[in-house]
Amino acid sequence: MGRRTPHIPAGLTKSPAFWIILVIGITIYFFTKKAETKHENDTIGETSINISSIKEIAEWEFLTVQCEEFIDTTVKRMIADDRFARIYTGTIKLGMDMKKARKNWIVCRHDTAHIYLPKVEILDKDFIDEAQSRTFYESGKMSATIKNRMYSKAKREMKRRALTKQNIKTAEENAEAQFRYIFSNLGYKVIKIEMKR
Amino acid sequence: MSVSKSAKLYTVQYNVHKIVTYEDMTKLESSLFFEKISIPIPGDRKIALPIDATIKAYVDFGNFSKENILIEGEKITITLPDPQMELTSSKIDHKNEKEFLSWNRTRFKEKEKDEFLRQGISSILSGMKDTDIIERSRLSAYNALLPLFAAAGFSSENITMCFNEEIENSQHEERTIFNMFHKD
Repeated sequence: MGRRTPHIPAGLTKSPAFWIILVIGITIYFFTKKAETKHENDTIGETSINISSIKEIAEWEFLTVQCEEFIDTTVKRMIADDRFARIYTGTIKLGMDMKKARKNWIVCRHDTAHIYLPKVEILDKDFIDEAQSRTFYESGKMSATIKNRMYSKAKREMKRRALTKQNIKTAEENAEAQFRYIFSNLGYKVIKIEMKR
Repeated sequence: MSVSKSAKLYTVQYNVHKIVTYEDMTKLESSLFFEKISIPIPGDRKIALPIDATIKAYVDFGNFSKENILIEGEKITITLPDPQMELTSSKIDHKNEKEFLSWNRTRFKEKEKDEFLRQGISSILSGMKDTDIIERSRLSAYNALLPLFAAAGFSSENITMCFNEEIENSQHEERTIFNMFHKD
């Protein structure tokens, strides 16, 4: 069987509307074939920065743990599941909040300095830099609740990895070394350090 | 994960809030009969992303040595490096994220939002340079370290704390004044 060539009815070719539509169609075809969308602006709008609070603190940091956590989640849907994966970055600082130290935390007599230090802990309640975290994979739409749940999971995981006995011990040793160094430079020969654990 | 020892004294904490906004103005570009044609795509595609960030200023004791302490009789002078600031955390308020989309425009991808948020953080950090965070940090460092040197037997009027940048600036001022009078 031979291929049939498309046949345009003779009545249609005589209609001017046909030719107008054909020309518009060809023009649109060639225009969209080469067309590409271009963003006129890639920068964010100018908005102010509101300082919500200023606090005087006295926190010594003795160990820095930089963490990255890969968190993914799947939401079951009727047709296709939504998947979402994100890499969270955060910095956990192990150190001491000197506001938690006892009243006279340094007692010096003659050539001896007694230093009473508070316990080593995570200095920041929130340590994830969510704005610098990046999306690794996304299909579908993620709700705010799911994103907050992923953030909390990343926080838990980072804490678990960073708050090890070894890291706490290293931070404590470093704290001791730093205070010993300062007080030996102030001329103290005997430096006794007590730390809450 | 990377672990490193440090010796930093954080002295002041600023909690800031910013609404990162972006308005997508997209156009369709193509050529027809060797003529470049660009047609703006009608409709709105806007987003507002609220961020809460914490910025802390600190004095780095990493290179602190006996050269930084000068004891002259009952007087002590401590030279400290100038405070630096650091973004310690940022949190996006996902519940209050708002998108405004016309029927013909696509929703924002998470990867697009990541880029806007990165710009938002850069904008916060550059905006913080215009605040008094460094000055407050110097004052706060003095308050935090005063008990330490007072316990070591120095009375508060005999304790002087100066910062590297302040010294450099004053030296620069001295040089400028010196040059004004000794031009030839």
